[in-house]
Amino acid sequence: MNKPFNKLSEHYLIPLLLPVMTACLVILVYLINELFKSEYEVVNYYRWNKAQWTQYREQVQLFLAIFGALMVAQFYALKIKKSWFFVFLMLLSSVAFYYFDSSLI
Amino acid sequence: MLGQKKIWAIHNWVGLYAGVVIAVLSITGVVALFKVEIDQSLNPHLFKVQPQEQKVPITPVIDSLKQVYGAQYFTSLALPKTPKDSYLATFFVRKGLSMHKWQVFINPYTGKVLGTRDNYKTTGFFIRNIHVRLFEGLFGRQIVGLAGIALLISTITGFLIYGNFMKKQLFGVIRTKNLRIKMADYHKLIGIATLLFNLMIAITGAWLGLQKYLQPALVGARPGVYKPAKKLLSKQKDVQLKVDYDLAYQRARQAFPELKAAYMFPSRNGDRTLDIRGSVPRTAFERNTIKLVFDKINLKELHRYDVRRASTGDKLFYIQESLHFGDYGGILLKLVYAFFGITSGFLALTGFIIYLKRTEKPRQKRPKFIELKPLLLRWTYGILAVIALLFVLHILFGLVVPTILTIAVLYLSILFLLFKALFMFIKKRFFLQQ
Repeated sequence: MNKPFNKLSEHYLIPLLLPVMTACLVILVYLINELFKSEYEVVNYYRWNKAQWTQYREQVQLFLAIFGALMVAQFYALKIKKSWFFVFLMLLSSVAFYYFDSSLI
Repeated sequence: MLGQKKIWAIHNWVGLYAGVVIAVLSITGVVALFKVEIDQSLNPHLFKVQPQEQKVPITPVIDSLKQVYGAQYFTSLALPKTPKDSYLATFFVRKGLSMHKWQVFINPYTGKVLGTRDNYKTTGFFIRNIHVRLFEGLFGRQIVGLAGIALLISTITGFLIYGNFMKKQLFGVIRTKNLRIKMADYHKLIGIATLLFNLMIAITGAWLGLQKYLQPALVGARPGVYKPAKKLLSKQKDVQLKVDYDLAYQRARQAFPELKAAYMFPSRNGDRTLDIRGSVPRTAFERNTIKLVFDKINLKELHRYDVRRASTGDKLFYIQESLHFGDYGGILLKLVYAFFGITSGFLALTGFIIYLKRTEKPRQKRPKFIELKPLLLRWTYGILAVIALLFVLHILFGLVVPTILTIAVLYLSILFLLFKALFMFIKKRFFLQQ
């Protein structure tokens, strides 16, 4: 059965969600890169003690889980195409961007 | 307000005229993302060393190299980023049209020279030069900048007409009725999915390409540049001055522990300074923009520029290049950039196919009509042949010969086309009417 056509979703919400997805993807990849930083770099240039480094890694893992879950939900949203879900995910992503920007040490 | 038809017309004509350049820049851009990795994997004997316990002082090595190549040509010293990296001393020699950028690779543990090469004959330089200037030494950068503006206009107009062109079509559905419809559906899907990325590439690309004109008007002088109140030495004395590079590095580490120092630039203009430039981890600014400036003689800190503490304008200025080349998230982010980057080429290609299919019937009546497939193959082979020829000339002769050839062919072609158009106009206006 064909899915019903919803102009708001198809012409406005999806084109708005896709850039949000791109930003989430870039942050996700950045976080993966941070997680696998070499010990040499951490010891020489991060200038953190072990406790700070552990705290940072935990934060990175937390954000990795948040942005990973967001991306899965965004792909799911493209599949089910519910207007409220698009709006909800965009709001949730905005909160995640703000939280990421303000709380990662 | 522009109507949908006018916006579509702009999208159509901008894409058609700038599409080839955008496609070339898309492909070369993807390769340029991995310029350093390609160069290093092609020359592991120059870039990589076996780590040992103790490094030897680099200062005597640089002093002896200055004797060989000429102190006045010594430009920079690239520092090892990891224990497995070599030092890289650069000597820039320019005599008239002859230009060489000699790179000398040094083993940090033995002080021995691993090898030398002219950077202007390397694959890495070729990749960057073809993407940044299209090997056109006069206005190449600006042509690339204009292509960035074309991509920006194309992306914005494409977004504005997206809804009108989708009508009641669902997102993600690709119709396979005929080639034109199939390509149009891919064009819309990929275009809207990569909207943010293409906007970012277009804006940063336009800025980088047209920086020569935009920077003086919008920003003024380059941020963070240190200029002493007066010249302390003559140029000749400045380049002859001995500098303790090892001590300078230690001082930089002490003064700015987070700084991942990557380069040392001794002054050559009489400023008597040593710039130590690098990056700080977890920042997305252009590489090597954070710097310490030392006095060459006593190694006292004269100036410090930390873009993290600079104004928003400075931050915007220094984020363009890293955003454009995905230089802030490791190799994985570069792969994501490569995937997105190739889409602008794909959009140019699908747009071109849509245009050719739409205008196929009237074009078929023309005597010089060529079918779609041979036409696309002709363009592809032509572009590849030009790139291959430039590469061979670049490897054989360095920078100058392929650059002069590109300039000559490009502007002679433009002149030829202009004269041809003028001739046709005169013929039509004054002779055919009679």
